[in-house]
Amino acid sequence: MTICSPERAVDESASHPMPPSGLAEDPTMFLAMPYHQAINMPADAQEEIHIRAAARLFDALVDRIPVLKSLASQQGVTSITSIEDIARLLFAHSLYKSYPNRAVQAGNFSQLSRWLASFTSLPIPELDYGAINCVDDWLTALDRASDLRVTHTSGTSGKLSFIPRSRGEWDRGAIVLARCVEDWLHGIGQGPDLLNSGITIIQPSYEWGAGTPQRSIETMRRMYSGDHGTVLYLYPQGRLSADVLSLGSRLSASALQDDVLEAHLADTLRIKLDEFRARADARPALQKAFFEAVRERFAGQQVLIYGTWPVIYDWAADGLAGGASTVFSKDSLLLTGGGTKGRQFPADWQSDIFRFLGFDGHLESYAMTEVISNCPRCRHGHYHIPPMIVPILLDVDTGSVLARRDGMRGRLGILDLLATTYWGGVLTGDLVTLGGWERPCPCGVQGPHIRGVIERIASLRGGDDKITCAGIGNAHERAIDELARLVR
Amino acid sequence: MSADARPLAPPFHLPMMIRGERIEPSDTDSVHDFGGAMICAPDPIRHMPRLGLRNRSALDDLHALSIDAIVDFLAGLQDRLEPSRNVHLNWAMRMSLAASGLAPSIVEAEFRKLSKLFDRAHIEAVADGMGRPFLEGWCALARRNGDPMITRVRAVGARSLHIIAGNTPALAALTLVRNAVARSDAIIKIPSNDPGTAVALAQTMIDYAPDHPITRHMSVAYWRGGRSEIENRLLGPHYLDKIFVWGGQQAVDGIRQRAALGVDVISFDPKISISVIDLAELEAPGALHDAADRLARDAASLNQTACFNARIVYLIGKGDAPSHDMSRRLAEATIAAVASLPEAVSGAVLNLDPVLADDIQALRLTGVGGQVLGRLGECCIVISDDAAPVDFAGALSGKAVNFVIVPSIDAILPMLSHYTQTIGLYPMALHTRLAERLALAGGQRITALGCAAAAMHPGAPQDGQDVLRRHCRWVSDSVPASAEDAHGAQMPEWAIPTLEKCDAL
Repeated sequence: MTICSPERAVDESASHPMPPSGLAEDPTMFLAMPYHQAINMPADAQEEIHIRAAARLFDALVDRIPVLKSLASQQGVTSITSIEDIARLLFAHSLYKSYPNRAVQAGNFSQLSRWLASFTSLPIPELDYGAINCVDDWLTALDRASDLRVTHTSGTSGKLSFIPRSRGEWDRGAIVLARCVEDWLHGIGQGPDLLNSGITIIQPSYEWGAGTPQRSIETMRRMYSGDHGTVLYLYPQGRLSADVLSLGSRLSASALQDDVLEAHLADTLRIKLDEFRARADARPALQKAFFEAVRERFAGQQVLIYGTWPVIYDWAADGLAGGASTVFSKDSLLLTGGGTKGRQFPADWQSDIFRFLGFDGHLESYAMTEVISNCPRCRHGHYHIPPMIVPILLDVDTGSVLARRDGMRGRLGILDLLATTYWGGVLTGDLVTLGGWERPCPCGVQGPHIRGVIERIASLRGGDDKITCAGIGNAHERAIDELARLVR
Repeated sequence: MSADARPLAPPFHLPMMIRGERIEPSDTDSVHDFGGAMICAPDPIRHMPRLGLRNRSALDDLHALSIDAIVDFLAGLQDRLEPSRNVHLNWAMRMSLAASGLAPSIVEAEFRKLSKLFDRAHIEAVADGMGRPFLEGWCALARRNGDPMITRVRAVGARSLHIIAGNTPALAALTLVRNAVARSDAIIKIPSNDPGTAVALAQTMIDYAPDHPITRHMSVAYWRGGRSEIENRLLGPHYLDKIFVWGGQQAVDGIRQRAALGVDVISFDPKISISVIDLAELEAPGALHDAADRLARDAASLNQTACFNARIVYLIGKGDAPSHDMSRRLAEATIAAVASLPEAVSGAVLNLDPVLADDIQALRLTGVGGQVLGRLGECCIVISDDAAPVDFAGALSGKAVNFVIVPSIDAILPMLSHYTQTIGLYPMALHTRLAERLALAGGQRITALGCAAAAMHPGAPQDGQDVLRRHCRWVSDSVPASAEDAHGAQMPEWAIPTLEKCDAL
């Protein structure tokens, strides 16, 4: 596995460079800074910039984002002067899915717009709600009429989150990623220069949609591939439907059979669901043909492949079995996420993949939909937090801010300084241990980092076998509710 | 109270009881996290062959007891179940204080009430509800004209596993009583929120009458729910006839999947309860505060940890400004009424559900979907913007209630389901009008507002099921009514059974 080696990732000659002035006034200036310097900024140098930048951001947004204003007034925060102030202004990650489900079910998209408006400083455009019949319509209408590029999660928790990111903010994410790849992947300046590469992107998934992968690729296409670049999709002009995901997430754990439900679906949703199923059925054959075509067409060339480990592994295993290896050029890049999805792989699975692909450049990151920048993983298994992100560790039970000392474990809060149209303060559901406050990571990089094991807070709660007779079987009830509504 | 109220020193040792024998945990047994209390308990895997009761005829000793003798035995325990005088129960109470997450005032009150379940009248009512004549012996069913057979029915004991809920110690005691009356062998799986009660009851019986068949047919053990090495072996028909499972969806689903064919699963699925209040009636003098006091009791008793607690309150009204205004006044009065409930009924909430807290906070911040009054943990009321419960209504806890204004009772009926347990009505006049319709729509227990937490009749059905009778195995015995058998063949006189005379029910 190739990830940065400290000798190369840290510029020894400038191990304590002074951060450029003006960062606190305009955190987007981080984008102009060499990545290896930014990611290596010592914690104490970051803290002052963080508080000043957060204060400015808060002042600029508090009167424009109603939810931030409510929270600030509830918490009695009128200005930010400390990390504790920021901690009091973190949005629970569930806030972005707090819209009433029935707004989606009943097709009340003006209510959904009203909800969304409380999270963004951008004006929600006037939409023709009479023509909006589903979530996909609503998202498309917002895309057409504004700079908003709302993204949604996959809804594994039972409900999709909607995050109102602007086009400009997506661009920032692509720039950070490109800079990270260039300096982190193989050492300073050794990685591919994505921003000027015209690189071919391989996306074994949908072309359209507002899911985070779709939005990311859409941005990369614009930022990396340029006018003459190529993006290959498994489903060209296919859309990852937010409606299908939303329905699926409500029903996934339900006892209702699909066919019972289907009898009551609205026509628009039924067509989407049929398409989704047809694609899923055809996927294995289609994927095989897709990857064969990719191999033939781009052998020996530089590519950026975006996919999950299981998909890439199946491709590699297939290719190797057919005698293929070293398919692409060495300066290619693999972006993966989402872990191994519960799949069991043979011992040498990653080296098999890299042997087949012909390159081993791949980036593993700690990242989340609510936050623009990624936190790249070093060879010691630590995720390094770039200075555009303010990490705050909180006591799981009391919510109080924990000391910035190496080895402290708590719930991670984040303020994303690159978010300027929505509030980037988020209280994650992750329990982490932070390091890098006192001593640099063994990889040589300074500044805060997240140490290996990340747990979900939700999995810690409840203790063993606490049984009460009260409550409702979660998804089950929602599914029955859904069914009742869909009956016409 | 005079009982020893000192906290126990962790990790707590939790013994296992197998049919009158106490087994202490050893150094090699693992420690479990019971809601923050660290508990060391013997691993049942090492005692499996004895924990399950392979031999059905081992129930003979119980069936040699008359129902009167069983009632006498249980009633004889009553005096010994005062926690201030019973060292085991006092220990169980302190275990609950550490592990239940309930306020000490409530835990202590629940333990003080425990002995009421051993009132002679209560036990007799349980026996009557099960069908006392069938427990006493074979009962002939009414013969139809020309029926050549006489059929007799008898209720016999079963080998039962009880996976009980722990939100009140009453459930362990109730299980003991019902099980003993049914003459069944019971294995009680300990819930982590009430670790001690079942053990304390078993030990109290050992102290009282170590060789009594009832003492010898109660086992108590802890294992982590879903642990396959144990459940795959124990849940088969060679060890068990019946499994009673309370509460959590996961526990119920897990048991249903694992229980072998032939094992009767009686589940008390997770439930929520509702209230229905006619807003127009609140205009009457004193009605608003009367309704608020009653709702406070239904919603906040036992700190809203039980299935009978009101969580969604349907308010019948026009949805116009005056009805919103009345809803708000009712909410405010309810918040005040909850605050003045006695501490033994509703106390400090020690553990708030962080997910629910986030959901309520989100409503406060966005203002889309509903309006929030009061504070979670004290009394929090969410008034829905429209005529439907909020998305998280099924997860309400910590004395949180969702008010939903609906135009008529017809709007409520489709929202009832098999998850709807108790329905509290106000005013009483609604009762006569609605009881039948609510029952047909899925409601399982209909009562007057303010009575949800009142003790149920011991013979009443529970969660829409005739639970008492399902504690027994029901066996029929058919014999020819005359010397001619069903096929017309003559039977020798000595082969014709003598039938006991018994009134059919």
